[in-house]
Amino acid sequence: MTKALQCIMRIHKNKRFQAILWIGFYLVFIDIGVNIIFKFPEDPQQHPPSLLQGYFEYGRSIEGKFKKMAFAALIQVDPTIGYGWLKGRGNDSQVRKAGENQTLVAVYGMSHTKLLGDAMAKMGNKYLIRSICAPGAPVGWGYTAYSLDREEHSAKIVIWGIMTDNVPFTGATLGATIYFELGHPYTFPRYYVEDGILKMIFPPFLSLEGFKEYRNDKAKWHEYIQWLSKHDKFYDAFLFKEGLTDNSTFLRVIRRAYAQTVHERDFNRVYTKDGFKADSEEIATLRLMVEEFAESARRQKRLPVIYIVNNRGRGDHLYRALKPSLDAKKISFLSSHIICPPDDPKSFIPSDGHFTPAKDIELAKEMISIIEKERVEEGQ
Amino acid sequence: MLFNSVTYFLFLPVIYLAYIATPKRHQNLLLLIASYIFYAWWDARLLALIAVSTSINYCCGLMIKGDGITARQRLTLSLWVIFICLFSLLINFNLIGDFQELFSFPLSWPTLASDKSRWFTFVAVCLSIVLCNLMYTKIGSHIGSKKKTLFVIGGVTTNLVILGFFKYYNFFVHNMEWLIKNLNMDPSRFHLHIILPIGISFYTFKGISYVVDVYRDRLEPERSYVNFSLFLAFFPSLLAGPLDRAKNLLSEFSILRKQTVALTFEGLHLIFYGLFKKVVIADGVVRTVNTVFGSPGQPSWIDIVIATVLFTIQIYCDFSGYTDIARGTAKLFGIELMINFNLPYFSKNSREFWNRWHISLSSWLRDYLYIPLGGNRSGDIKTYRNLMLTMVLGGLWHGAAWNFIIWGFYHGLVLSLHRALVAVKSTAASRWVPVMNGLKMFSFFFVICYGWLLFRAPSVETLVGFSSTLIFDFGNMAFTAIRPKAAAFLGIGLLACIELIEYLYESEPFYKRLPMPAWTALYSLVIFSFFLSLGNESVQFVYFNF
Repeated sequence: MTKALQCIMRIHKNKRFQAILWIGFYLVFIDIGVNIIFKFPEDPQQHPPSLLQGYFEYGRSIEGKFKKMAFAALIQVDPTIGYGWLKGRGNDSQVRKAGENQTLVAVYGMSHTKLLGDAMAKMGNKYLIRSICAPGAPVGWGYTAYSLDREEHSAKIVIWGIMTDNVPFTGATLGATIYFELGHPYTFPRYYVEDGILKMIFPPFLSLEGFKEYRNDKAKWHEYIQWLSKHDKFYDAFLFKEGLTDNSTFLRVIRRAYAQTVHERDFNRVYTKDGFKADSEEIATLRLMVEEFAESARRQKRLPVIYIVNNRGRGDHLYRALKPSLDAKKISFLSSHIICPPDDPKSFIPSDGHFTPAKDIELAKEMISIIEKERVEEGQ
Repeated sequence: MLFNSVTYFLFLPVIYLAYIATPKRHQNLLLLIASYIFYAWWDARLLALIAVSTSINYCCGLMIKGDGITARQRLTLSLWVIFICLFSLLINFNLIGDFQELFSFPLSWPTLASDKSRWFTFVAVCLSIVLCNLMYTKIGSHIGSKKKTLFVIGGVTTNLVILGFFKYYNFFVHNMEWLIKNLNMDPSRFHLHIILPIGISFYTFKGISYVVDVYRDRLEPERSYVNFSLFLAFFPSLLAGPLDRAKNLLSEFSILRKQTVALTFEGLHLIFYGLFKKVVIADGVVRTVNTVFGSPGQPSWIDIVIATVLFTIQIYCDFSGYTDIARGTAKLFGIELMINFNLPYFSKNSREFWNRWHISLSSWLRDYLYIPLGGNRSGDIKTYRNLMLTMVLGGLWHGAAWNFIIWGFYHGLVLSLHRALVAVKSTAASRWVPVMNGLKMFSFFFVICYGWLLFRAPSVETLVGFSSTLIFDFGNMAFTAIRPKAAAFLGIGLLACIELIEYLYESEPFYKRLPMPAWTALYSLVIFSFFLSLGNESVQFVYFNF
């Protein structure tokens, strides 16, 4: 195009304005064309969207997504995993009691933790798994899930999964403010440390019913947005609010690019190529959460285990960030980086952040051996 | 300051507006100041190096021609070099590059007294200046060719010493560790913490070509120090070329340039097109390439094949994208930089490839290395030797690592093979020629790809491992790498389409016949793909490392 366009420019040097008009016309044509050809289905459960239909939706505002995509989908999802509502998950489907010769293990966290639990279940009947997990569950979600659920079962072992990519977003309260593209509507409390004490701010609702109640009432929804802008560190009006911009492909694409840039910037505030900033608020909060998780589990005579998921390309940085707390409080843990080197593509499903099923089995074996070792030491 | 950064797109309009507002006779000075600010953005200490290098080449040029340097010029130059060295010594480096610190004056006096090495360097520079001034009359009294030879050798050697020290010293020490250990010495004592000055390979090569061209009487020495400094430091081409010759670039600086609307449009178009190649394609595939080449394990056959092909595309889009932005920026100031790429992946053989790829470097190597070595004038064996030597040194120019040497050797071998086989005439009937050419292009593309595998491999062990996987794991289709960005596929498709049109139709009549709705549609798709890639992470240009 270098030569060709220069040649064209010379030939049409008196028709520049006309050319600009043509380009403008085509851009409008593309914008409208994409909206028509790749229109996102109104009922994604019946007509799952294609890759490109999903691709051009990524940039829709969070409110727009709630309206179009997530809201339609979340009603029919499996409530045990669901879209991560901490309350009203449908307790009937939850495993409450282990059978004879079985040990109940409760796992909390993101999909990696769910997959680990599934892999442990495949190892035989010895362990019965109670999974309370959500897609991409942030640190605060996993901790709250454990806190709300701990009186509901008699598990001897509690596992909490934490992953590198979520740690910088401890200040969030809504799945969608962390994962803009996916627009998870689930909510969870924000945790922080004040005078060495772990404190939290609860969102106005933690259940799908609460969400519906707020979403369907303009005043309440406005009130919720006010609350979000005050308490969610990652709330951004440009990303959140629905408007005319949702109707343009180009503007959606720009919003998505902006979201990616902001996400990267927020991530890099806490994380460098050498690892997490040890003096950051997020790491201090996480360490305290881990310690409190272990202490409360031990108070209930349970074995606490931290499952550290070192995401692709992030080295063993999360393990290193947590090691001082794990060592100080003698907390059992399984860090994924030895079995699944974060820089080895073979550890992961192609173009996916999850470990391969074979790696999950290896991780499950390692987790079982950690549990059994600890239980032998404790004489159980 | 990356070309694909927000900082650059704030910097460029400011300089452009200042340039328009400046009287024509001072425009070169403005461009020089802008170039030094641009360079200092990374590490302001390195300004001293470029100023010293400029002064040496400038003086050598004048001395070769026999014009001499007046006492006043000598004094001014000496004071300038001392000033810039003092500035580099005092500057609290890297603060300028940090945008948050931009508005605080980055001098840190308290740290100075403690840093003896900086003072040592400064004293050494001052002593050298005094020595040069004292010896001037003695050296200047030499006459004719003796003086010319003395200064051409001096100029070339100084450039090579600067390049060798900053770029190859640690590589040399690292490879000589066994010898140092055998001499019962501690190798760590010889390792120095040297920062590789960005763009050093480019401005030292420019300096060499200038001195040699003056020596060969192909060029009159430049008498304006500002113009000469600008020749070495002109910011669009400072960091990664093109390696413009002094004859072309100095003549651009010595005339009163005209800015036309057409030139501005062409410049803006080139900047946009360069950004398209860089942001949409190169940055869109970089993660896939990095996961495979940076993998600690052994990737599968298909991983390596895809990553290598993608790197072949990445390096072309990255480097030619840089060149387009550089050329476009220069055009905004009414300056024409040379074309550096001419559809290189449409080459049918290695000779053609080197006439189309990084043209400014390959022609530099031809003129200042291959031909002085004897070229093809002294029989077959010496021709092959010269080819191999030129390509190996060309490989080494890219970086102080064995894989670059191996890459150079590989291309030397391919060039030699082509030379040996070129005598075998094609017997294909003329109607089959286009088919044969297509086949040649297709097969030669994979020869280039393997070359890029050698180039990209982070170590010799990786290179050997990947090469053996290509042979012994042939057909393993288990793809484990991250997929490239979706917009990169659209970008690659558009680029292939545009370049194919360019390759097939070089004549103006074709473009005259091409209706406006057709080419504006293509242009709109390029804009669309650019929008889709706005969120791509901004990655440094590959050639900045060289």
